Amino acid sequence: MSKQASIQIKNLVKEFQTHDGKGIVRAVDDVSVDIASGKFVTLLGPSGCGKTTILRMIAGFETATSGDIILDGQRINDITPDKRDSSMVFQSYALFPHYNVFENVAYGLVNKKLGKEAIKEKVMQMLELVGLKGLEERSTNQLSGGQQQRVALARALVMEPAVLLFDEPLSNLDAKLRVYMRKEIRKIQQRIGLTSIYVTHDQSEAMSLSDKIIIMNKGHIEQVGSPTEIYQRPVSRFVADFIGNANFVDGVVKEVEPDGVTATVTMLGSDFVVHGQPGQLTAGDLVDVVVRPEAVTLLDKGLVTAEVTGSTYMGAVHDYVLKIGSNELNVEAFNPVGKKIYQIGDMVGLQLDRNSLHAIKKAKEAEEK
Amino acid sequence: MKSLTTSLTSQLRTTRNTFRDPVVAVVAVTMVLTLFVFVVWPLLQVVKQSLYTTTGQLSLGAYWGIITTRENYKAFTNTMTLAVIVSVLATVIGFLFAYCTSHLAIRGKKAFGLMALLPMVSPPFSVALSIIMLFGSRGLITYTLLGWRDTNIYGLPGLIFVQTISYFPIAYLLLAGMLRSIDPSIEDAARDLGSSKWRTFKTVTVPLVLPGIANAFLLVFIKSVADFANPMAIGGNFVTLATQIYLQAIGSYDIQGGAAVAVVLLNIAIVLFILSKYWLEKKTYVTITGKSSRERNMIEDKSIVWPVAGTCFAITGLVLCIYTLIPIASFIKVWGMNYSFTTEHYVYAFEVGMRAIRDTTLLSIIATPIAGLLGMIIAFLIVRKKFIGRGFINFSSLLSIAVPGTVIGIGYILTFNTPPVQITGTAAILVAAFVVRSLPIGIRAGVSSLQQIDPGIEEAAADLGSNSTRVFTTVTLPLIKNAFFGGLIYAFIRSMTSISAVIFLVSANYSLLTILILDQVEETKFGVASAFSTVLILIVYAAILLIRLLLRRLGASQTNIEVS
Repeated sequence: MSKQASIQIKNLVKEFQTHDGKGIVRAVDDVSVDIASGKFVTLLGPSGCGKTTILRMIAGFETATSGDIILDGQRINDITPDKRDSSMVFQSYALFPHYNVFENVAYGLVNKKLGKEAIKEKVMQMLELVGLKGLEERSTNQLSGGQQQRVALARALVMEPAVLLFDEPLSNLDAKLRVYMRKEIRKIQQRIGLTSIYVTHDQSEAMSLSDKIIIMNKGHIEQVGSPTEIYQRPVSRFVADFIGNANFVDGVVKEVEPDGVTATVTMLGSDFVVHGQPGQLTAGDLVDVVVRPEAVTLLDKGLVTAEVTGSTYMGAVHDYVLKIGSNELNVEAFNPVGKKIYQIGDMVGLQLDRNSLHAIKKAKEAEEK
Repeated sequence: MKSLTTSLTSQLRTTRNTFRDPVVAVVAVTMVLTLFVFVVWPLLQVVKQSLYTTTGQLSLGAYWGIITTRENYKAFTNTMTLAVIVSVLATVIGFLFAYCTSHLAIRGKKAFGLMALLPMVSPPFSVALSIIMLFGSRGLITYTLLGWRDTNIYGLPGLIFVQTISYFPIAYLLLAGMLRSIDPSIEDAARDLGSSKWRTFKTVTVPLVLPGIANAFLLVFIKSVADFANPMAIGGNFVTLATQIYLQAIGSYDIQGGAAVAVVLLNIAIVLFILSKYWLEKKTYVTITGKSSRERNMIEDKSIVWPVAGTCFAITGLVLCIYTLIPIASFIKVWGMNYSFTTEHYVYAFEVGMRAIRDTTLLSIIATPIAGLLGMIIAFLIVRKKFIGRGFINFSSLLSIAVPGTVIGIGYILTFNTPPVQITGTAAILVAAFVVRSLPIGIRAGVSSLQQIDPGIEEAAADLGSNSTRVFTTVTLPLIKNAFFGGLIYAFIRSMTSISAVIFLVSANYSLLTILILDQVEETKFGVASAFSTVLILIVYAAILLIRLLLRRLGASQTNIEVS
């Protein structure tokens, strides 16, 4: 049933009038991105970064101020939402409260002028796929949050759209259900091979679902990449900070290897081999070195010595706060059972995992400060 | 039986628990008694009276009379015909306005709000008076401009016109709220699934507010059925149940016959009210889907906006004209004949009406704080305290919303003419009628604003050592002061413009403005009637201004004051 389509977004801009009607806000600022067919792509960013606006422009609920949205080679900017070959799963689910489960899922098929029998067959098939078989006659307010979510998904999927759009669909579910539903969504999407665009501000959702993550900030794209690239090779301090936890340690580039990626950086009073974005680093640059909390191992003695200023037992991990000169590091020791626990005031040695060290060139304004 | 006993004991225990505080106990009992004496007892008296003959025999003769007496039967069918037509028209127009404000991208929506407020702050005869002056046999449009002879606006057509103009804002306000609270995503979803704008409207928007549409229809129906002022002013020979009660009880001195008609009207009103309250309010879809995710994208399509908004603005223009005609007419010598300027109507009005102006204002000033305070206390008891009788308080306060004023009026004569509470002819009975008529809206406002306030705040005050009086005056009342002042404004307006109940109760001792206006309208002295109405409007506005000023002193946000 898959009818895969690619999407190109070219120089997309969306401007809104501010509420007082005087100023103009650029919610989406010159965004260009290619989404290959059959891929699951996530737009990730803090609230107000423009991710939902992009999704709603693809669906047709907002009109772009300028730029192109191209679906399978055809520019769709001027097509009304009902004529676009995309289906959306809404944050509030937006189920029709006056229809039962069956009628909700069948609603769009009626627009396609399908026969009664064909509709029934498709709806039942879909309800089985999302695990709602037997609940056809239920009214939507008799369903749990997870079940409502499935109806919303089924209603969108049954349209066999070229693109499936998700607008923070899991944000109204509790934590456990959220994890379960995202696995379900990924499973169904992979089975059908549908091009999907997913909007969220939850990084773990993005990491676990996506082939590709687009990190957005203040209306523009910060970085596009696979979950591993985004986590291990962030291009900016914003990305490193937004995805996972990060310590930023000030350093100076001493030497860059001929490959342009590996470099030696002086920080915390020693030299470390780190990696950076290709071609970004040159000798003498001031850099932020991203040190992930899980990349640090505590020893009684090490190359770098630090003072323990915080020590908290969390069950699965033990959190430490360490002080090294003017730098402060948050460190996580996994599975603390049976390991030595350091107390506040202890002096410890640090071992940094060199594969995890990533240098980001400091932005200009930061240098001037 | 056993479960009944256990529930009764647990109720008793809760009550005893609540009444450990003597102030709460005294206040609660007083409220139950007050509502019983001034709401329930008079209604029971009406029912009782309708069952006895003049000689004291138990008889259903009066009811038989309703079916067999041509006048009464006619009044019944008239009332129903009028109510059905007006409800349909008012709901349709109300929906149009509501859709306009909630879904269309237009400017100048504020004019709708002003227009919707006008019927509430205006004397009861304003619209009828204007319509007669515009479209009557000597009407500005029909006679002076078009030159038509013998147009007759009195009767059914005039009443339909007047009631539709007066009551469609009720439907508008109700439906606007409902349409606005539809999660826009639901309509987006329909569009996303391939529905055209029209199919989205037909299969999603309208079905979602269908309970609201039915409710708007019922509310207008109740209003139309209970309406006394308009049928008196413009009904002509077209007698409705509400006017028939008056004509029978006061005109023909047949209180028993009037009571029987009143019982019929009461039953209609209560059935409609229960339908609206307990059946329709449960069928609301709008809020079940949780938080709405974003603001609605307003429709800009000119082929939709122009006809809908055009109609609404045209009607708004007409309504504003109708209301502004009154002050203008008060300066016109003889409407329909001689359109020269004069102030003689005012001179005459103050000559005859000074006492009425004084009495009406004074009695309203007395009734307003009583109604306001009682409303908040009762709201507090309903929301925060558990005791036997709470259900009674809630029910009787709701009941008094539904009961037509004429029924209350005849009930008061029957009840308070004789001991134990003999107050007919005094100021007290007028004040009581004012309070009872304006109380329910204050209570509803208080209840809904109390429900939004965390009881923990009051518990904190009690925990810090405040007794229940101090908790109420220092925490509860300040938190619901917007509802309180809104209630005050409403009570004052309602008292000043009241007619249906008090027309049964006025005596030689006290005279009321609204009744003077009715006299002038009936004598077709439109200039004097307009002058009286203008004075009434000015007093009402002065009071609103004063209360708002007071409120600003107290530092409350003015935007939240609801008059309705």
